[in-house]
Amino acid sequence: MGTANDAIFANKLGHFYLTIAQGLGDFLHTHIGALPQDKVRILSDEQTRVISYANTFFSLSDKIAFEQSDIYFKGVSDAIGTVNDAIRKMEDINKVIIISSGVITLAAAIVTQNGSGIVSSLQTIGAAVKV
Amino acid sequence: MKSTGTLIGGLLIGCMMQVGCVQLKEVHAFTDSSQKSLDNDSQTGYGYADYCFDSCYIYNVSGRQLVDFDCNGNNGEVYDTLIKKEYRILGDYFAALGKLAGSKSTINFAPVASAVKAGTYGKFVVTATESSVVNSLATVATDLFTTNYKSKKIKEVIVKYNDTIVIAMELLKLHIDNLKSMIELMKLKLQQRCDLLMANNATDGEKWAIVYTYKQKLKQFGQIISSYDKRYQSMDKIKQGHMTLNENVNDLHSDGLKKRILDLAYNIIYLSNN
Repeated sequence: MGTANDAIFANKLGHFYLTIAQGLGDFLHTHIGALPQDKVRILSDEQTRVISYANTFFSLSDKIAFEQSDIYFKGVSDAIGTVNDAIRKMEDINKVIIISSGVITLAAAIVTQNGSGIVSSLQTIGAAVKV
Repeated sequence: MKSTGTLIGGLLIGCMMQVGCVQLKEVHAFTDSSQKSLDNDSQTGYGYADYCFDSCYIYNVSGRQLVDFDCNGNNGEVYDTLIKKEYRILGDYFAALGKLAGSKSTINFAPVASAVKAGTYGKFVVTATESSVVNSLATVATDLFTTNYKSKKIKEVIVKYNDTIVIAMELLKLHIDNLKSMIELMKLKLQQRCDLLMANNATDGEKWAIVYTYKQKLKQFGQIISSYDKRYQSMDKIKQGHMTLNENVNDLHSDGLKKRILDLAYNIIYLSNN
């Protein structure tokens, strides 16, 4: 059974995905006139998925917890600041799409309580942010 | 002579009791503003049922007919009822505390009839911790109202239930923030849809309709988010107030405490009225 801290973590994750969705939205809003149609479609689809996961985290409360989840969640917490910074500074649409795909995979791993999936997603995101 | 002494003694005790009540008037001002703010929050505003109604058409991109945008907000309504009950119980607790602080104006009390049950309501959750802390506050509020405790009981109650109040307020703040953030997400989806529609060869007339709808809905969401921000701040002030009382429980008459607690009371009233 989850604790109040798990509910607080779910809220924190919701904010993380909300910030990413805002970053993607700002990018789309600013560049939509200059972007090719296929990129607009991919980016808007990814923003929709990020919004959907943010909604999930805001309503998940302490149900987010699973066995040893605190270990995996610490890794996620450590990555939040780095990813937020990276999204804010990005100008290259391809890099935006790669990082947003990574955070979508991470969200899926968290929601399905897949510990190894969380670890591998964090590695993928870490590599994409550094490029 | 003996009866004169008794009379004077009685008058002195009466005066001391009166002074004691007067000296807790700041505590009462705080409990009163907290109760009113919580009661106000329990009765008004945009809730989960409203969210269900808005989200079911803002997120629906494949609907063709009006019927495709119909939605069932029953779980949202049930959840709203539970959250309102939590506000009511917390309000009752502060009313009961106010009674111990010497208030005579908090008699309008009807105990919450049923417990707040932990569970999942559609996609929304009431946690076991939440249910436990809120129900224990309901019990103490009813006890304080129905038993003729003396005002000195206030110290014991503040100390005993401080942790419970802090957790309850934090959980309610979490509810407020979760719903507010979900409204922020609807704003993002609205902007995305309008951006895509505008870019999709819309005519001038269609563009105007898109801009108008977007701006109106954005304004509405902005007002709701602002009201939730104030509600969140108000909760924080109420929590701070109870913690301050707990930290100074043996010095409830000090000028420093009176000033701090009155400042919080004014802030709560301001946030509740604006």
